[in-house]
Amino acid sequence: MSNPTITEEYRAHFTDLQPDEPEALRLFRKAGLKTFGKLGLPASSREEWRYNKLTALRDRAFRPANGSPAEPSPEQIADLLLPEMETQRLVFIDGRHSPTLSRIGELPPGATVTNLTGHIAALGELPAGLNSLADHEHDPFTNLNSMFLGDGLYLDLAAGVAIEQPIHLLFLSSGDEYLASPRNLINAAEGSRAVIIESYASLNDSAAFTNVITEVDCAPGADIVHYKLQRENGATQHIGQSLVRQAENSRYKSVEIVFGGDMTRRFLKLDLLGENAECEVNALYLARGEQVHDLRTRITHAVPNCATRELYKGIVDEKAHGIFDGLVYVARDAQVTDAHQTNRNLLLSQDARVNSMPRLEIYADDVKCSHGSTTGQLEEEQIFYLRSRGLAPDAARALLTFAFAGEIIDTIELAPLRQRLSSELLRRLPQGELIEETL
Amino acid sequence: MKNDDKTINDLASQEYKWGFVTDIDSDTVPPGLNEDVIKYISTKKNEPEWLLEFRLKAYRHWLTLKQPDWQKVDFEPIDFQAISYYSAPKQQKKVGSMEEIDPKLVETYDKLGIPLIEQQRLAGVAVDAVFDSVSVATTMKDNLAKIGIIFMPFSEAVQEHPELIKRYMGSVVPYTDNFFAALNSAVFTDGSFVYIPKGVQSPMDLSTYFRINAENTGQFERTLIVADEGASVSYLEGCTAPQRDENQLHAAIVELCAERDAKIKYSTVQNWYPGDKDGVGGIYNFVTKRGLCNGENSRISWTQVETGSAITWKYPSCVLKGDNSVGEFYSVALTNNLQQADTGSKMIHLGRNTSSTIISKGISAGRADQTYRGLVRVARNAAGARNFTQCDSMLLGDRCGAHTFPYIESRHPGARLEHEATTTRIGDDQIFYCNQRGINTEDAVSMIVNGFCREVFRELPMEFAVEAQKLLSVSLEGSVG
Repeated sequence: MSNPTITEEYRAHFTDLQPDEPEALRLFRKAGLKTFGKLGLPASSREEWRYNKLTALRDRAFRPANGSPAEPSPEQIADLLLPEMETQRLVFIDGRHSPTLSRIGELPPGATVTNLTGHIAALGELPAGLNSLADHEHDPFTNLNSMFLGDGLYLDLAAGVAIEQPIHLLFLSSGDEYLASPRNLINAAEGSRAVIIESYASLNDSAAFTNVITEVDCAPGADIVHYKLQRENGATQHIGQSLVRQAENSRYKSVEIVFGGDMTRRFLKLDLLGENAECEVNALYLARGEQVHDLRTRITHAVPNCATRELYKGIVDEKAHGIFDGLVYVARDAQVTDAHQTNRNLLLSQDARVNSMPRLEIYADDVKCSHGSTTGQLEEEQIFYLRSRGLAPDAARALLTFAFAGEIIDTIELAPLRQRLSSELLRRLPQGELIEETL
Repeated sequence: MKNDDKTINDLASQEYKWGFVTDIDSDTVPPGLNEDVIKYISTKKNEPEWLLEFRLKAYRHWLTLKQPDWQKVDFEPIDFQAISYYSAPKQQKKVGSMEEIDPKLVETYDKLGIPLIEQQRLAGVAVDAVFDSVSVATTMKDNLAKIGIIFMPFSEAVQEHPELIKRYMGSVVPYTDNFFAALNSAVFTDGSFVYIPKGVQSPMDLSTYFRINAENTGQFERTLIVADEGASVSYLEGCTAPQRDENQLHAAIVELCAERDAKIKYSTVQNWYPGDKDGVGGIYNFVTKRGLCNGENSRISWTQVETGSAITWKYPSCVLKGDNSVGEFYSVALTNNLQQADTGSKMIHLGRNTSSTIISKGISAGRADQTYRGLVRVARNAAGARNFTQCDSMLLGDRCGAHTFPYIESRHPGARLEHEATTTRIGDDQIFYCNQRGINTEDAVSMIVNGFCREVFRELPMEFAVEAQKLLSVSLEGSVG
């Protein structure tokens, strides 16, 4: 059972909040409070929390930031702002929108890019689609997010609208045990197109808890590319969920890069509800120290003729723990489904551990479904090959590790972002400097 | 095509051939479970005090447990008070020789293709025949005893070799292991006990044939096989039950223990009554099977062909404790009509350089649901551990399901674990290719299914391989067309 006092503490934090906001949002929060109060934190006996014990979250309740956040100057966070790229940018600090750091340029007609709660205030009611994909009945973290609902992206694309510049969402935590509850809502109408970069970072080394939900609704023919970068400090607890619904002929591509956090749980739920929809989901997690990286996907093929490509790769070193749990569900009559799921793990240290649970649940016969999982270390033959070409053993290992991770980085379609992450990967890998010399 | 390869069409008219009931007087305790029933079983079997204690401890532990519900099968909750826990054919006088066995029993086993009379025995196979709660005959026992092999009913072994039973019973599957293991430990009635002494290679295959006959009973047998240093044995298990409208519970425990350099090969053809085409009746097969590779270089291999049972729920496992030990699991599981199976294997790597292989072939037809669930765990000290897992599913028809849920846990960087799984059906192009070469559709399906399972079939002992292929064709009846 979860600790009831933690639930009580969150309830107390909730009562402290007296925001001036539309009635609809107040009721929304209250509903979240009620359900969270009932559910509490998930019991670790629950199958989906079996390997990730959420130790730090059971210790104490984090509180939402109050007062106005201490904003860094743009120079201080220059690098985090992706200066090399033209972007539409929204910056959030501890779950609250920072208008001074954000910059939304010219948008095509029919496109709305704004702060979600601002949009709710203007509208006076909740926007369509809010909580329509998140599991607000059973998931405690969804309700915790709802009750403390913070700022986030509201993106609405009318039919046929395409935003050329990527939309960069930068979520910063200023620490001090703050709970940030960002919420993003993306409605992409027929044939619309956008690229979203959802990125998380810390301004200092203090502990924080980020509990974020992103809901994406892709209408027929919509095309959404979604990058998620988790680079928070090693003291941060991060629970992030992306919930996606795809109609016919739509395409959704997700690339998750998880470097940071003390405990990071990333959950991707994808429902393919229209024929000929396609999704490609990739992830790279690099866990060191005592980090826990827990990646979970649920992909449902509800109708025929859809395709899934899933590739999740992990590098787990020192005392870290990597978890992959992926389910591909093919519903009755979802014929001609083409789904492939792969999880590969490099286990680099004696004290590290990996759990891998690739799953297929299939109720249709005319399908091409497969999955694979490997866990181990680098192939001796490959090391030998590089050594025979004159590389020192360490350099050979480093290079192969880099190549292992590079397969995911290479699926990033935005060249500047790809280069940035590639060099960041080099910095983060053990013996990255050796690779730089070799390259 | 060879003549003995029956076509699906011929087989479509066949039903479960083993569904008859033997009309024999039985000693059956009234349904219900309490300490008195356990004491009754224990007294009936003239058991020593320590065994009764073991049973009661298990029973008291069982009372604290809840029936697990994580498995992916649906069934009405079992009423454990509605089951009779002991049923034995009368005529329980000590049987001196095979000729004194009740002719009705001999006839039953003849009908099942298991001749008990020694002259007619299958060449080179020793059989222990278990009928409901008791072992009714064990063939070849004396010949085996000459080379030191102990092969006898469990209850006899309790009397004659208590020191071995005490030492090994519960050492691989303790009564605290799970709900059904606790139940079995409390009420188990009979089963087979095998002990192969140091350095002895069993000259023939040993086998047990399990038969449920009585109504409202459950079968709770226990098999314990111990291969001492350097010994080896191949063991076969078969099972059938009458055709009935109510479900019957089979909750067995199989424990294997292989010491240094020992080898145990355990093969099963499981053909319990699967229920009719609407899912009425059938056996619930909830079995705990586990092997312990206790010594260095030991090897345990599970091979199974599962076509029967309304619900199958079991995970034959290997605990690879000895360095360089090897665990293997080869399985073909076929579910048709409304059968459900949640089955797979567990490989626990504890020792260094241990290796394991899991090959699982699932065929799902009709409205059946089949799940592969497996665990491969590498402990912190299992340097050089190696696992290869392959799970392939074949779906025949669009109303069935096939699922793959592996759990892979690694705590050692030197371990290499690979898992792969595919799900397919028989392609129209494959059938077309066969048709084009003059092979009709029924034969083509049979051929493709057999090809799909070949990797497992070739691991089976010869007698079983032939039987398994036929069984597979029978069980496929009505699923193609």
